[in-house]
Amino acid sequence: MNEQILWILGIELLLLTMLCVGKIDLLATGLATMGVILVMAVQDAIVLFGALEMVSGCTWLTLYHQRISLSYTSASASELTTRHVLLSLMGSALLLLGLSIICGTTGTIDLQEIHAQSNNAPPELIRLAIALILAGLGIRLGVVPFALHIPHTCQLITNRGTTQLLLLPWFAGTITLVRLLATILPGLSGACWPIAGLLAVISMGYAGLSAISEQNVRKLMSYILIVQSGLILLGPVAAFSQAAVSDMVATDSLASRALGGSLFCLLATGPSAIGALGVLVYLRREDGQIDVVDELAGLGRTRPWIAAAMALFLLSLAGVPPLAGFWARTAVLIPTVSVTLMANSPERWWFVALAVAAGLGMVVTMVVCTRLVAVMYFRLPLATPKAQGGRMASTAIIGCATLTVLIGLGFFS
Amino acid sequence: MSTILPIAIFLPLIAALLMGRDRELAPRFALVATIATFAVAMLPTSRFFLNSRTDANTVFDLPWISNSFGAFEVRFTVALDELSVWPFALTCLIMLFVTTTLNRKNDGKEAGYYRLLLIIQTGFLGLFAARDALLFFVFYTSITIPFFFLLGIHGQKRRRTAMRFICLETGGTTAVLLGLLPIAAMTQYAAIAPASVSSGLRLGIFLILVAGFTVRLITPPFVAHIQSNGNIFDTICGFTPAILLSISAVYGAFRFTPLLLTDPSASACPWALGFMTGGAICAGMYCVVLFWVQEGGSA
Repeated sequence: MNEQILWILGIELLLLTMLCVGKIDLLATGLATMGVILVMAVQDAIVLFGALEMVSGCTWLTLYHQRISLSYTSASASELTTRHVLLSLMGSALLLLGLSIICGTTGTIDLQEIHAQSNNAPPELIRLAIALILAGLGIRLGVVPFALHIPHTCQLITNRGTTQLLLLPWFAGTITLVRLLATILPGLSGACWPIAGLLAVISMGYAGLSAISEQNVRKLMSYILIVQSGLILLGPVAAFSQAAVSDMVATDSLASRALGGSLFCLLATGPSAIGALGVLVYLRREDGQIDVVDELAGLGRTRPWIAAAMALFLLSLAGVPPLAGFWARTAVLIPTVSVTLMANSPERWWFVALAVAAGLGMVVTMVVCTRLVAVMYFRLPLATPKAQGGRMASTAIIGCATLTVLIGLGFFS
Repeated sequence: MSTILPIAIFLPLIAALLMGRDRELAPRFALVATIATFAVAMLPTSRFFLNSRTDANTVFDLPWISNSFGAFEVRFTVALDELSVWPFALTCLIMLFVTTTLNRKNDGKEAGYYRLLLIIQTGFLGLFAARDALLFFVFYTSITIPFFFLLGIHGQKRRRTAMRFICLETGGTTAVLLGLLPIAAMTQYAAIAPASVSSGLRLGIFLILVAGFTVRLITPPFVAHIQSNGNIFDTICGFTPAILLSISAVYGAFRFTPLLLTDPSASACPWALGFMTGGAICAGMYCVVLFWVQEGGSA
């Protein structure tokens, strides 16, 4: 694994951990962070699955801790937390089934061995495994329709809990997806790209449209992250497109570029997502946490530095160059567009439609993010939010802002 | 390799970053910065005209984003050629004119206003000099956010105007990005030879690009009409950056669409240019009618 990737991931996870205070929060985040690093580093399929479960387990711990500490006793709260855990378990089951098929057909659990053997595996079984893996990881990535419950769950919990619940599975899920697809790349079949493409389009469309009128900041952030997940899925779509592209020599290079693009998209979007949620953790109103968009009104006047950081994160998530979020999008869009140029005639137009859908998703995200910036800068303040997140949170925000700008300026490329 | 061109491009940005909060000093500081930029920008411009009008004398080329995990590459390549030298020089001249003659009301926001104007100047200079498709897009879009803040903070009915502007601009810039990405892919993927791309697809990319640039061409009039008092576009000084906005769109169309022209798509060129011209004329007439109605109303 590239040392540079590990460094960036390590820094981002450290910044994420800095947002968590309290024994349970810190324990859960620390263990989940270890899980994400294991997901990145291990060479064994079973340990990979175990590491992923470690992350899931920590999010359940966070969720139940939040439920107890916030005294959520309503039936809907209980239903949502239970649904979250059950769907997460279902995702694990589907992922385990997919991994079992891959290990069974190749006769090994070592990822490098699987890479070497996947050429000989039956393509039908590999296709089935990919479908199961996509469904299983889709729940962690926040991909629609597998993870429709995530925004509603986030609405229930604290901003700090949302940070953990959204970001840790997102990191772990994306890295696992890229690693598994890179592992079974030689055995990939072209028939898989419509599944991934459809998931990407549905995720971007549903989350983008839902975000337009959303007022709750946690739901809004989760919708923005779902759009990002849809964009990340464009990398696998391009990698899956072997059968659609006539030039096979070019495709090998294209697939590795596409998967690299997805990983880059995750790591470049990460600081902005952590930072934006970090600002919500850092600020508080008189009688509780920041809940709705209107509570950020006039932040540019009352807390100019925090508003500037939040604007930076939001504009990066919106894909404004030269911030990190723009390069994240470019990294997944260039391989997709390249497939469009190389694809055979009938499939080509599907890829054109996919690129246009990605464009529309980007437009919607831009409008949503700039709406928030407009609320902060163009409206009069309703109240002055308190800065009660502590020094660790403010340091994390500064770190995220620095990383967003540095990645945008090409320092880690 | 000449370093004067990047210095000229980034000088206004550096000035914007160094500008203090003093409302009295801000206009003078901005004036000095634009004069210095004009002086520095004239060096590569004159070098271009004096040395047989080739871009070799002004080119600055560096790898910028070279290994984003293998996904793409971007080079920081700027140069002046026959197409870019005129708008490049015009930008310096217009911004000099704006900072010399602008007389803003004293509302305590002068420093922010001039800072945004200087950032916009860097965006325009970079846009006209950029030779890499993605670098062009970076500068093309980097203008949007300063304009958004300029409209939202310094205009009237600010939020509505700014949101309308950003909605129009986002649609346009996304279309431009979707049009420029294939061009970038053609240069980065050896397997994609421009000749191997079908004419239908090339025509589609061409039309997407033209549509994207057309949006920026008609954006200023749409935003300008909303307010007549206090909006940055209501005076001739305020309108000049908006003129640059339109020039950037036309420049972009002329810079990149010829790359896509083959025999079948060339047949669409008159239609596309007609589309752009028609859009601009309609927007202009729309503005004239609106101003006429406003005048009639006030009388």
